[in-house]
Amino acid sequence: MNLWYGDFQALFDVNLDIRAGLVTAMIGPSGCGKSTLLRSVNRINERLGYVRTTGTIKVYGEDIYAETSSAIQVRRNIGMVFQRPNPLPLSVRNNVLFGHRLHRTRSYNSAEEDEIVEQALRQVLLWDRVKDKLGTKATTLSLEEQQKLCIARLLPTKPQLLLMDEQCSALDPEATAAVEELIWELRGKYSILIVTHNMAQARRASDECVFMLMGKVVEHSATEKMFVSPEQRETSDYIEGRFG
Amino acid sequence: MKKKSTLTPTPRPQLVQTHEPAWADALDRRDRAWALDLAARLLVLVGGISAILFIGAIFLFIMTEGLDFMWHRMELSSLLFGSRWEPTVDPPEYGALPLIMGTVWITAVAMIIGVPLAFAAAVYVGEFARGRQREWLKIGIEILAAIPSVVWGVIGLYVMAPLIKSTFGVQIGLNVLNAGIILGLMAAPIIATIAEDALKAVPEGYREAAESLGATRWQVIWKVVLPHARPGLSAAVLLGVGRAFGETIAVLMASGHRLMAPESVFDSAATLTATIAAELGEAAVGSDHYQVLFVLGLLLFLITFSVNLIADRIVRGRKAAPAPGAADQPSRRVLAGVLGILLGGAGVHRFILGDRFGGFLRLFLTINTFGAAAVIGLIEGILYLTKSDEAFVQTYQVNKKSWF
Amino acid sequence: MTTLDTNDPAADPEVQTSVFAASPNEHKAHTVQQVFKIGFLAVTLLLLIPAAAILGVLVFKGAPGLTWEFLTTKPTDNGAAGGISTALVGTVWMTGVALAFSLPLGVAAAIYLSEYARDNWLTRTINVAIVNLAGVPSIVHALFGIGAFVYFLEFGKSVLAAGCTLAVMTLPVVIVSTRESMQAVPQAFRDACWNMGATRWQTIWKVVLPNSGSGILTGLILVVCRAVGETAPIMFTGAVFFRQFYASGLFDKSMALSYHLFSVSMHVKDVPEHVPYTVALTLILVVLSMNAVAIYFRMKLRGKKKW
Repeated sequence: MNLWYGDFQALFDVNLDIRAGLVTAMIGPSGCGKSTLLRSVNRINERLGYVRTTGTIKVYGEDIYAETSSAIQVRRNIGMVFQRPNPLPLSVRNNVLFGHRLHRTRSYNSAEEDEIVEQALRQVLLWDRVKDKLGTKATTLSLEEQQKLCIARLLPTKPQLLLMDEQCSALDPEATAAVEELIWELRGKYSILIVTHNMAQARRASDECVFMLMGKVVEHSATEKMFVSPEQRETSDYIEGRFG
Repeated sequence: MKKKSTLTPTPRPQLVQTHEPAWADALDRRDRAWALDLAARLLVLVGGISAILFIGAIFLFIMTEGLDFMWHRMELSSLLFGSRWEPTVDPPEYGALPLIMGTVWITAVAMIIGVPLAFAAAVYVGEFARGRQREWLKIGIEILAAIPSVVWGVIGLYVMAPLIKSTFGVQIGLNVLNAGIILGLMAAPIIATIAEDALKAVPEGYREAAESLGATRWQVIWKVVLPHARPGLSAAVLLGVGRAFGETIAVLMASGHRLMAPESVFDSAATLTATIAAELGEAAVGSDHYQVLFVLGLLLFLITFSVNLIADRIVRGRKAAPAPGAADQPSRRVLAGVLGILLGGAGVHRFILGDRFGGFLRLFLTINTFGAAAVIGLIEGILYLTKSDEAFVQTYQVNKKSWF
Repeated sequence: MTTLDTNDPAADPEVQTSVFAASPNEHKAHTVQQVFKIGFLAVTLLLLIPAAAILGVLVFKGAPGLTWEFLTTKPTDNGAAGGISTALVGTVWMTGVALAFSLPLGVAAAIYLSEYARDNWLTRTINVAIVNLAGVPSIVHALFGIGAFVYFLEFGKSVLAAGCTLAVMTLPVVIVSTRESMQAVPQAFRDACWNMGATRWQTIWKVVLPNSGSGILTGLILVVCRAVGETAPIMFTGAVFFRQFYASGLFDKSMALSYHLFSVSMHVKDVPEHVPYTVALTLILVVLSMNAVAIYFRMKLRGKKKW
């Protein structure tokens, strides 16, 4: 696919296969287009208004940019976690239920909703910590808890794919470890695509790795392979820290 | 993109020898630029303080003009609750209740008309409109805001009045409805502008988060933006009330200026502001009538002052970072502050803070100084309102500071 | 072509066929959104129609009387006949006085608040004072003008007293618009200037002020608009009902356009029907053309600024 911001072309003929149930990491220097690619998979790029794309992105064999696909269903099925934790200024409980309430097809009673909240929070290993303060504002939680909550709020709409954009860059090392552990926990249940600046993190917490440069995919291989024996010269230069 | 390391060793630069005295001279540079800087600093400080001086001077001058009357011949209750305003009859009656009622009626009608219009415009312009359409709508709102009040008055007098007469089949076209519509349209652009600012202040991250979960634009507005902007929106309404309440000329021209409390929207009415404007020219300088008009002005000043202060605190309180643990004790700051300003003489603000002794003490002082000690309450009220919520709770509710 | 998860064994076939198609739920949400969007647009237009209607009425009824002669001859017969020249000149006088006081003072205050003030009680008090000064009803400003300028400073009922009253009233306008444009100057510019050893004032003079000209200009224009349009503050401090002479100096009284409009529509007998409309049209043309200049400058600057 190709993508333009106004007159500036950010992605060039990107061609990528991501495997289900695995954690795939995208690495590359600043401005190489990895965040752009990630954001176009959730179609959140469109809200800027001046973005133009050609080509297709297929998830589960369906083109999310097809005429028949609606951005809203795409976003429902493909969850997105942002760089800075951005819980909505609502209670913890309402944050978890936000997406669910947008997309439910019937009304739920509060017991059912409690069930949904507990399940989602348990999955992100947050339940024990916040079960007594479900009514407090989510913005008062610690950053780590906020980021986990941002992951939790995606789960009730049963997405197949989770996108994470530098999800740990605002967190301290301990919180980063906790969130990485969580990602590993979710592996297998969801396909996960993360963007990271941090090569050590890509190496620790992913099955496959994609290296991007100047809007193009340079290399895509299993993480172990990429870090041990990269095929391309640029990849090895970047990994060894010669530029970027 | 294949880059080799380009670092080549460079020779170390030689350290330049410096002499101690030269350094000291260079550091103590009390030259012309330094003096100019100092002068400029003092000059702009004067400018900065001028706003405080003026607001203080307004209070002081209006109070001194009406002081003699307030001191010797005024009974607050008969001024506020007397139902006859007949300054030219002998003996004159100064009961401002009809004027207060007129003000309340007209302001209420203005808000009923202006607030929905303004909020809809703010949401549309701030959240839906894009590009050129947005610019044009904003310019339209600016034009509406720029129309001078006397022109609005002419419209009320010559356009609205016949229109109301023929539409509703009433005898008088200059009435509460007319003035309310005019004031509503005058206040709407102000409310809309402040409300749009409040919407704009909602962080982009919240919208992005909600949209990334698949919310439509309207769902984002309804579920995230509006609830989060609520304090700003209420501040906008408050400032709109302040504006409608203080408007003078347009109301004088459109309301019919009848000195009796209106009983329906089709009655003519008079407001506090219009009465001052209409009668000040006729009242002999220094007479009771003249002084009582200044007392009304003081009342207007105090009410708009509190309204603005509250609106400002709401807007600014929002911007400050939420301090954890501040919610331990609900802050009574705004309530106590406003009561201090309005009813400080009776010590009501101290009763609110649980200081019964202090309340009675102030009441006692006020009675024994024929009202002069009410100034204490006024000052305390202003001090309360300028504090932050946390500081207030700490100072007055936890530590129970008893004076000022 | 980018393909993600082309063959996912876990996904069940039913989901696979229609997972991204719009759901009925979503159709409803879109309809609701559309209804609100159109409704809000309609209400916004409802708010703007009166503005257009007012302009229309004024032009329709007032334009025939708006001649060069009307603007340049003196009024006669208590303002019912003749032109408006003395009122126009009086307005120019008062506006000029207002500008002369409020602009320097306001810019100084804005410099202080934007460049010098720390977040302490003084700054907070100044800000509170500005907000309140802007919210004081115009008739209260008039009372202040009488007490302070007409009697206490013994200016008498004069152009000077009226101009000073207007200056106090418009001071917050200048402060707010100037401060805003100063705060929009990036901090990095100031840092760069300081790092080269400039004093604070040199930084302000050479970097901050040249870059906030638009704000000062907007402030100036808004002051003119307010000063030209306001009636209540001048009606007891310097404007007179009818006078056939131009103001001879700062301590002379004068007619003023806004107060003239007020009196011809409220008090003067036997005014021809078109006169109030023509005066109102003149007033609004002055105000709107000033506003147009402000809007033009804003747009031009927005296109130019690159930071």
